[in-house]
Amino acid sequence: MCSGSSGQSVIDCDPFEFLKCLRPKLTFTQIVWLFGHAMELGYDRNKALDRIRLWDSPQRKNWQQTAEALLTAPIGFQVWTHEKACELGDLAPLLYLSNSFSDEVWSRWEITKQIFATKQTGLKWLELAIEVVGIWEASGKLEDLPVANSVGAEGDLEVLKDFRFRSSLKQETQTQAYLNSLSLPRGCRISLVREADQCKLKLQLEATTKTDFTASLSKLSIMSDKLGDVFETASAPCQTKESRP
Amino acid sequence: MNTRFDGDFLKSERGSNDGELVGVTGGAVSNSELPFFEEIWIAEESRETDVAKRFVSLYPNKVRYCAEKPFDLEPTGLTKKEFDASKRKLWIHPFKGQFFKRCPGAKPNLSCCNYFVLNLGLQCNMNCSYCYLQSYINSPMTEIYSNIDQAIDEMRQMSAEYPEYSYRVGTGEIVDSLSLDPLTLYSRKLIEFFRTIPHWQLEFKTKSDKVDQFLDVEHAGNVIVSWSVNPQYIVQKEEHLTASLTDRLLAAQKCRVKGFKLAFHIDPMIWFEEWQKAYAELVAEITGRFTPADIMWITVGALRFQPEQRHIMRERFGFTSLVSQAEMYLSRDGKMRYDSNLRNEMFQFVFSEFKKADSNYKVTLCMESRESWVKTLSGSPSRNPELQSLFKPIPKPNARI
Repeated sequence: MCSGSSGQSVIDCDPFEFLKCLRPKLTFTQIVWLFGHAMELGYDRNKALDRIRLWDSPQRKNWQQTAEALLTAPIGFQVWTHEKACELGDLAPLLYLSNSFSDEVWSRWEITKQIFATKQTGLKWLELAIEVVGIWEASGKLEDLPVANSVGAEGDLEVLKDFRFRSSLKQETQTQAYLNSLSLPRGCRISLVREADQCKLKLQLEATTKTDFTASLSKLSIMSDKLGDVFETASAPCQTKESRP
Repeated sequence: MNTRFDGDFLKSERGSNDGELVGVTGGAVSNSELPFFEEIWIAEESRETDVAKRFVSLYPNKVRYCAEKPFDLEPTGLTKKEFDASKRKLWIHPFKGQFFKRCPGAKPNLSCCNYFVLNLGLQCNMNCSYCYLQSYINSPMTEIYSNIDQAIDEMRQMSAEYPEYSYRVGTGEIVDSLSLDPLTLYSRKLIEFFRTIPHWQLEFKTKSDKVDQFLDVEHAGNVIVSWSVNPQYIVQKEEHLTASLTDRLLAAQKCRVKGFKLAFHIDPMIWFEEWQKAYAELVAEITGRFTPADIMWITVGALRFQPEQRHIMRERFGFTSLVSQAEMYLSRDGKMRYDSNLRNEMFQFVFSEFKKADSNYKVTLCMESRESWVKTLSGSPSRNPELQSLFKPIPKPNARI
C-alpha cells in the first residue's frame, strides 16, 4: 500500500499529494493524463493546475497550455510522448499549433508516425511540420504542400525541410548546378557545403604526380574568376526571382 | 490556442478630462496620449523622487506604493500571457546594480564600436514581433528606475577617471529611450549632465516620435537622437504600436532644427518579396530629408534572435509574421540569422543606395561578424577611414564594468 509524503494512506491523502509522490516515476505525459482524468472526475481545474504546477517541473511556465494542447493531440502521439519521456520544453511547438491547421498537422503525423523512432527525429518533425503547415496556411497556399502519403513517411521530413528552407535550398541547388557545369581539371571536385549560416565552397583536388598537381592548380587559377562569381552576391550567378513564403 | 497579437492590448489612457497635464519640470503630456497601465506601483524608497511625483500627477488614481517588489520573480522567462501583461503593469523603483555597462555587441566574433549602455528601465510599451526582450526579461512588470541620479554619478566618476577618453553612451538597449520619456523626463536630466562632459556622446534611440519634451533643453552638441527605422510595410506588419516611418522622420527633423545630431539604424532589415524596392524607398526618404552632415552615422543590421525566442514569437504573432516565416540558420555566435550571403546582399544594397545618393553618408554594420564587414565594406571597420574613429580601441574599464 502506498503512502503519501506525510505517511498517510493513499485513500486518506490528497490525490495531488499522492501524484507528487509518484512524480519521479511518471512522465510528463502521464501527469497530463492524470490531470485530464481529474478534470473528467469534476476536480476544479484551476486548483488542480495550481497544485500540479507547484511540484511538477522547475520549468513550470506554460504547463497548462502545453498540457491542454497535448490532450487535444491524437492519442497515438500522446503515447509517443510518454514512451520517449518528452518533457514540457520538448513540446513547446504545440503552443503555436493553431486550431486552424492542427488537423493538417495531425493527418500528416498519422502517415509519418513510423519515422518517430527516435525522440530527436520526432521532435524535429513536430516543429518543422507545425512551422511549414502554419506558414503555408498563413500564406493561403496550403494546397501547394504535397500531402505526406505522396512522399512516404521517410520522405516527409525531407519535404518539410525543403519547404521550410525553400529559397535557400533552391539557390544552393542552382549554384551547385552552375559549379557542376564548369569544366574542372581532372581529379578536382567542387561542392557547396552549408555550415551554420554560411555556404562554403569546398574544393577537393587529387593528384598522383607533381605534374598533374601543378597542371590542376594552373587550370584552377585560370578559372578563379568563374569560381569566384559564386561569392559575389547571394543571387549571383543563379539569381532567383522566386519569393520566399 | 494560438492567439494572435491583439493590437488593442495596449491602448491610450482615456481620462475623464482631455486637458493637458503638466509635469514637475515641464513637458506637457496630453491626457489622451498617456500610455495605458493597469497597475502602477511605486517603491516606498522612490516616493520622493521626481519621477514618482510625476507619475502621481499623471495617474492620480492608479498609483500604489509598495515596500517590497510587487511580484514574485520567477527564475524562468515569461509566458506569452505574462509578457503581454508586463507591458500593462509598471513598477518604479531604484535599480540596485551598476547602470553603466558595455554594449552586449562587444563579443569576440563581432566588431565592436565602443558603445556603452545605460539602462534606465526594462520593457517597452511598443510591441515589435522580433523584440529580443521576449526571451530576455523575467520581470512581469515594466520597470522604470527611479535613481537616475546614481546613474549620472557613475558616469561622472568614469569621466573623472578617464578624462582623456570619449565614450559613446546609449539609453535604448532594454527600454526604448524616448517612448516613455514624456512621463519620466529623463532625457532632460541626461542632456543637462552631458552638457558638462562635451567630449562624451549620448544617444537616445527610439521607434517613437516623442521628442517635444526635451527640445527646449540647452545642449552641448553631443546629444544624438537616433531612430530605428524600417520601411512602412515592416512598421505596419512587425513594429506594432510604434510611430509611423513618416512620424519618426518628422520628429528627427524637429530635433535637427534644435541642433541635435541625428543617427538612423536600419535594423533589423527583414526580408520580404519586395524588400529591395521598400528599402530603396526608405533610403530615399532619409536622404531626401537629411544631408550627410545631419547624420552622425547610419547602422545596418539584419534580423537575428536567440534560438529559444522563436517559440514565443510564433505564439504571440503567429505565422503571418515575416519573422516567424524567415529562413534562419544558427550562426557561430549562437543567434539565428539569415544565410550570410543573403545578409550581405541586403547590406550591400542599402550601402549602395546611400552611396548613390551621396558618398558622404557614414554607413556601418551593427552586431555583425568580421566576415560580413569584409564582404560588405571591403575591410574591417578599423581599416575604414570613415569609421576609424568609432572603432578605435579605447580602454575598457573592466574592473569597473
